[in-house]
Amino acid sequence: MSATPVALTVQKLTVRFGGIVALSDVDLTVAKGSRYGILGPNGSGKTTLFNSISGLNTPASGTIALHGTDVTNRPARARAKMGLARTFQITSLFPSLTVRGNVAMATRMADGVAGSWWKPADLQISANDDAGAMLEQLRIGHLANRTVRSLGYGEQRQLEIAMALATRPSVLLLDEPTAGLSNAETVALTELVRTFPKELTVLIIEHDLGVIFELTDQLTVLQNGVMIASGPSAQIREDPIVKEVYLGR
Amino acid sequence: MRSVLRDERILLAGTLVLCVVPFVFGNYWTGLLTQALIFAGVAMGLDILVGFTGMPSLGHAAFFGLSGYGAAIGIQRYDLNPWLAALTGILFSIALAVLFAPLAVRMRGLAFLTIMLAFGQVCWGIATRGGDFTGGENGLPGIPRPSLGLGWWDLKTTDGFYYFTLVCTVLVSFVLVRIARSAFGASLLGIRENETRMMTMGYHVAARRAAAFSIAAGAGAIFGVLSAFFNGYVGPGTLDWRLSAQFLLSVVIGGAGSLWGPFVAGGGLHIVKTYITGQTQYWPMVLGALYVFAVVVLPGGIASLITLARNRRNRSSGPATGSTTAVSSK
Repeated sequence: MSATPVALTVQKLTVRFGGIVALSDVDLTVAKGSRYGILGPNGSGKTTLFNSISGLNTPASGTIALHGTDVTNRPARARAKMGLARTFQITSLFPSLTVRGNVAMATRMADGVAGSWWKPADLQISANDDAGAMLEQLRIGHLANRTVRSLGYGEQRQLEIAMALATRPSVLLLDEPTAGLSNAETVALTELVRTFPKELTVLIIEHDLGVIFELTDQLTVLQNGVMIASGPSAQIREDPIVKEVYLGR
Repeated sequence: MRSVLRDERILLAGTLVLCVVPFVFGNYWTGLLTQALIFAGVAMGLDILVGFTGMPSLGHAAFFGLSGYGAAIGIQRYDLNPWLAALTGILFSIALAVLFAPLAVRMRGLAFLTIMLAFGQVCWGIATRGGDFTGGENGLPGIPRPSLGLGWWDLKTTDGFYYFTLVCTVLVSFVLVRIARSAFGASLLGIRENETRMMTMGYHVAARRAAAFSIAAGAGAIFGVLSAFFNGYVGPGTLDWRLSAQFLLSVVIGGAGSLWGPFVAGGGLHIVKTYITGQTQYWPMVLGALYVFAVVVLPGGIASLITLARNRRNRSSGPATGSTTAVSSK
């Protein structure tokens, strides 16, 4: 364990919104290549934690380190450039653009051509090929020219993940990827996460216990912004406190 | 690929048609179209900010007017060569935009609209209270047009200045179309649609919004100088918030995010305005009615007429995937 490099470290993270303590002294150590689950009831601070890690809120105290570099005071875009990507619980796309246009926004950044202001974007071969390849990989290539607004919900959820993958991240945060999906779609999504490269570090917020125990090797359980358990998934599954608080047994 | 060529074909066709104007029409219409081209170019530039980036400004006339004032003051107070004065005016206006941008782009929606209104009014206030230096309420008349030094192309003639304006308009339009089609242009659409997602993908949203702001200001500044030379005069009217409103409405009526829609509406509104103010004093009422009509009947503006026509034609041959903005359908 100690030999494995650490991808993400969160230490004593506290986040307040006015008088409400959303997160209190949360610690995470996520090894490179691990599949790390975050479990907890609604309002337990899971998405707030992801927002802190990705730089979308300002913690009251604590530190966040990405690949050993303290990023607590760095903006979201700097963390993204260091290999962090995320999806959103509430689908967060570019509704009036096409599916390809959405993914290309990410691949152009990964290919370093996002600042080009003279060459037409649809002639930027590498970025467009990458976008096409990503869509094929997620088996949504046939949707490439559809406007996002016209897609079904399940297709939008797939695109949500495609865009995060298209930035070629080293650490990926998935915020409830199966929220609102049918059983068949959930199975397909679980399969997809299985195909992710081994060296990619994945953190997953998930309510579907089947999904989370199947995919993750480590697990942290939050309740009211406080960590109530953390450890190997198999162990957490048997933890009496977790059973009582979250599993309701 | 095809869509890029289509833009260039539209540009070329439009240029050829406009080249013929002085041969077909008299001086009155050529002059009217010169001013129409000027407003068309401003509206097209403003579309980068309003349509692409989603930042509606009610103070855009400031950049249009200040470059004209800059050129006029350069010529009349500092005896600058008219070309140098023009460059000074344009750079002055752009510099002001670049300086103000970091503050302005912190605002969103209505707050941005309002702070731009305030910015425009401050510029207007300075111009009207500037005494002899700015000419106060009277502005600065008697601005001489520059000379190209070519016997066959005299900018002092109506036709000569029309062609010069046309050349500038084509160049600026070409640059704006290229910017809109680029990765940078696409990122502006991304910012309009979903700022947070752009940030988490590594985009510097504030810097790109500031760049869009400065590009729009730059286009406004170039045409502001042309307008000053064309009329031989700058006055507080070029900084007036009502002119800003006319630019913003041109973008909306033309179809925000389509570039050519605001161009057509920017020029068209000036021609309609000239005609109507010749008949009645109720131009603002007509403008208001046009705006309401556009918003209610044609929310995508003039540009959406093409999409509607295309969808109708394609209805039998497959599902319509057209969108109101030309760029988003690529």
